[in-house]
Amino acid sequence: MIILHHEGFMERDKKMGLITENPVSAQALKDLNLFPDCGATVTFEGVVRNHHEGKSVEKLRYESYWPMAEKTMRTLICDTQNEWPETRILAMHRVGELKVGEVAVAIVVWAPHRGEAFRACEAMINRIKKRVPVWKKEFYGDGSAAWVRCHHG
Amino acid sequence: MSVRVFLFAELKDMMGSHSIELDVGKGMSVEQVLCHALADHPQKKIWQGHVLYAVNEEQVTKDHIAQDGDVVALMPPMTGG
Repeated sequence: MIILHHEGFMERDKKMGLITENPVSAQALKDLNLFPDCGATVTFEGVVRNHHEGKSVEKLRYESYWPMAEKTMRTLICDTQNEWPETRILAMHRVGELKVGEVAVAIVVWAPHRGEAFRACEAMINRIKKRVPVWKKEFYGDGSAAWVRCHHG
Repeated sequence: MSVRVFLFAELKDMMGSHSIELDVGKGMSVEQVLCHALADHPQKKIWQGHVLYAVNEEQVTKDHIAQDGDVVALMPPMTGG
């Protein structure tokens, strides 16, 4: 089963998409309570931090290749669910301008037991960072700005 | 034939445009499209080494041959998350 085919979620999905300019929150996704048969829920939030390589960061701007990013996110969810077949996964990435402390990525993994939920959640964030066409530009305290260079090889 | 080239992030800023229309020769690979798009830009060689390619929203390797009317995306390595 693929969660994006879940009737309840499709309605929300049409409205907001998985790549969105609106705030995202793992708690909000968890609160959908889509899988009462699952005994484990692992959540992850990637948050804008206030420093990078010794410089103070004031905000980030995320840019995406939107249609490809949407498609890639769906593919990664499907692939990761297939790899851990008992898991159900939701993930969203925010784009646009984000302040320090705001959530850029939210992931929820439901599973009958914790082991596969932890593993699938870590795999999801690693895959999102490597494969979803999103880029971030940092704006520093001294007024300068720079695109972040890739660190995952 | 012509292709639409999309540029993102640092590449977009460097070229001053998100989208350009290019006339290219038949049988051109997406890597050759990149070289054509960046022409004699001093950073061409650097980008050639690590840019990622997509055609019509699907990621492809540098040897993929562009077709007339394709949308070719030239993407720096992703930095989301």
